[in-house]
Amino acid sequence: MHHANKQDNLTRRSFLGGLTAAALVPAARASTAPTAPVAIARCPSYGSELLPALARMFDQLGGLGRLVKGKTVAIKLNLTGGPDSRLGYTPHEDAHWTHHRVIAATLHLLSKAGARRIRLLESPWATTEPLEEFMYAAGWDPAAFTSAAAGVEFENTNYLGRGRKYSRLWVPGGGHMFKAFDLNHSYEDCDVFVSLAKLKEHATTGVTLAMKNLFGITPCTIYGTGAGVDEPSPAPVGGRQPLHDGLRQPSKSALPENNPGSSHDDKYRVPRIVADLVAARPVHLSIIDGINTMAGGEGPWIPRTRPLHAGLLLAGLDPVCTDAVATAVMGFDPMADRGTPPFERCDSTLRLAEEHGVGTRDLSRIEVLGVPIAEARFDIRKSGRTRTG
Amino acid sequence: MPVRWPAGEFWASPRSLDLLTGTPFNCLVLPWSAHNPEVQFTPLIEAGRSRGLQFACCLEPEAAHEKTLAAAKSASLEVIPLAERAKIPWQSPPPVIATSEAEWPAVRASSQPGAAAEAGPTGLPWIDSNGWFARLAATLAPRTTLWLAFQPPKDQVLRPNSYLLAVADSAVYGARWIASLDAKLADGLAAGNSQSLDAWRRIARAAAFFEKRREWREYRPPAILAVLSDFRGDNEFLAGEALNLLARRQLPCAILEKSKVALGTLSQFKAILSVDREPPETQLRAALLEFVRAGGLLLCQPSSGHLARGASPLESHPRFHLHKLGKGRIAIAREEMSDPYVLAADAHLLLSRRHDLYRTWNSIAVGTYYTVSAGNSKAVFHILNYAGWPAAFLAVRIHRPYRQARLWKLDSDEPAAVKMITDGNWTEFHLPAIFVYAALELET
Repeated sequence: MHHANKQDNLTRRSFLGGLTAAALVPAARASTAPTAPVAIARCPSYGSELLPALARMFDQLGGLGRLVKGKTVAIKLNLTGGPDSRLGYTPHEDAHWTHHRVIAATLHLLSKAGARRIRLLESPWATTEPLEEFMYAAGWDPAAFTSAAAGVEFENTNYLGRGRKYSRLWVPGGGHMFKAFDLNHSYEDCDVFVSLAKLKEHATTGVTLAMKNLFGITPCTIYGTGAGVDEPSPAPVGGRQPLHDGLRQPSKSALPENNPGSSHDDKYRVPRIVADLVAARPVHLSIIDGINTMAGGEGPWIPRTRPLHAGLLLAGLDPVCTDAVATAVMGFDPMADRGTPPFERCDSTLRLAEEHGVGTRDLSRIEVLGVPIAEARFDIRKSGRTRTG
Repeated sequence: MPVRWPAGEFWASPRSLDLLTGTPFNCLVLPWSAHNPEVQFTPLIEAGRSRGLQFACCLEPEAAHEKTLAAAKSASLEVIPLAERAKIPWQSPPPVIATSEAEWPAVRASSQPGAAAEAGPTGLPWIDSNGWFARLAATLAPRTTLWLAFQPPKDQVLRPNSYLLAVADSAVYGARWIASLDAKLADGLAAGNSQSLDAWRRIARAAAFFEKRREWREYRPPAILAVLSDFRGDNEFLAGEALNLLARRQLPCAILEKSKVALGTLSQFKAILSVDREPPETQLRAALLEFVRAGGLLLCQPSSGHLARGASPLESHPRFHLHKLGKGRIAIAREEMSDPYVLAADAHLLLSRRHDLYRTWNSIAVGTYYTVSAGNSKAVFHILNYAGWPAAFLAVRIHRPYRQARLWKLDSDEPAAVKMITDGNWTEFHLPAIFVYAALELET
């Protein structure tokens, strides 16, 4: 399959600016939202079958070379929660974090495809400590990443980090909740942006996949509980509760919400903010680790969650399309909205991102490569094993 | 093994001594004061002596009335000096010393209405523990036995597990708690209440657990980081809190009294945190520079900036000037280090967690103490749960291959098996729910 890459022949700034201009036109909405293929692979473990499975998926999507050759690639990982909190005895990577072997394999393939520089990004919980140190605390060895590819860098994006100033990324069309976000420089200083996510349910947004992973790109120095009032705080304190409940606005150095009087319901707010983020910071490649994961929620802090072996990987060139297919694979209807699983109590991030024109959630318009959805589908609500110990 | 003997009619009578039958408590610390006529204890003391028991009182030397002291001596009581931490005579310590400046071990309750616990800067609950001070005392006065004279908090209803934690938090680190009962428990025992008797038996059993394992006290923590100080005067607070908070980060550290440091004695460490405001004198300076040139990391106060003379500047750090000297690094604080939490975190991260000797998970209100035998073939990993509720799904990974592990709990005479996962360089243990205390006894 050879689908035109949105970013071919564009610089990163013209690409972002072009998107902004395009979206000034009222959103074409669902029927005309772009589509892109999604690859599904069975992968029973993180062993020797992982690398060929990922390579095959990237080939099915048209190859990594034309996307990353000579480029700076930024990868947002999903390392949610603290490094010292496991789901029962299950290591982070086998439950709620992107597995380190998926990260290493992706790095290897990106490097092989000619990526010049690859930056691993995450906003660790309430700290300015280096991302590598956060990984050590979880029992990971970051050397696994630096040895998997040349030119691998790490940055903690929960604060200013190594940048001189925050980068303002605009939401095309003005956004559901925010017109723009002030982010760590890493989210602007890259040519290709990858969301390397985990296949999970989510207490607030129903599911968390490639798109919800971007909620963590917001620095808590500006958007967090302990954010500075006028200027960003030097260090993040606490989580992103203000984004959940809207009870305070971001630091005044950033743009406030479009309507600070809007709902305080996190299940209204968070899906919209995620859709805005995905529009502001386009995702060129979405990879979802569904080999070992968890059911019932996004992390061990959610009651009645449990480890789950699904043995699946997904990848796609559009995050809405990829998440729509992943949602279907989890046993849900991606066209569902508030009131219907998995969005019983929340709005659909898929619909809200689709309304931004990011991509379609309509499976009939999405080409699925590799394992068909019908064969990959499982009911995540009925899956997983009880924690014992 | 001391127990603070309550006041009251029952406790002054010889029949109260029956409570000690089968327990390790053998020294009764009497409520001795000028206002407390000693004569009421005479029958108790006589009966106790006939059972081989000892009697003592703890008195603050400067506060002790001559009359009280004389009465104690005439009753042949052992007078244990009771001092605040800063007033302990480390240069010439007595065989036994007690300190009143000790905490009831627990997660610190919040001063905020409705909040469950007070959080430290990490969001982790703040833990009150005397472990750091017991370790410091064992270093500064290795031949002295430290008695911790903390008493039950008056504003709380204590469960038996709280007492077990008080025993463990002292004994694990080589000190002894003067076992002290709250009024409700003391009254219950006096009345023969079965629940009180059961609680008392559990306390005694916990104390006996550590007495039976005296060899563990000879084990020493393997440490890659050392805190260097004289631990006195103006340096006492920062040095002591650094020990406390490094322990909270599960980062084992050695305690170095700076007058005892000589050339060639620091090579076992990867990092040294020099806390004192005074610059090091000649001999210490030479030892520190030797340590750095050989590859070590030295963190020190701005007053020690001259140590970096001739060193090359390294990358910037918000709170330190970093320099390379020989194979090692010197981190000179930009401003005087005064916040022990920040200091502990900086020391840990400048050293890097990649050197951590062990990690734990699901251990939010858990304290750990890892010690090894002289030959390194045996080890004990102590786990103390300060939470008041069970620590579930606790996992421990020690960066050392161990072949055998036994899990001891206070309420069992037999060790339990524990799930071990090994991966060449490390061994991971998946522990059952721990209510108060457990120890992993390990062999390579």
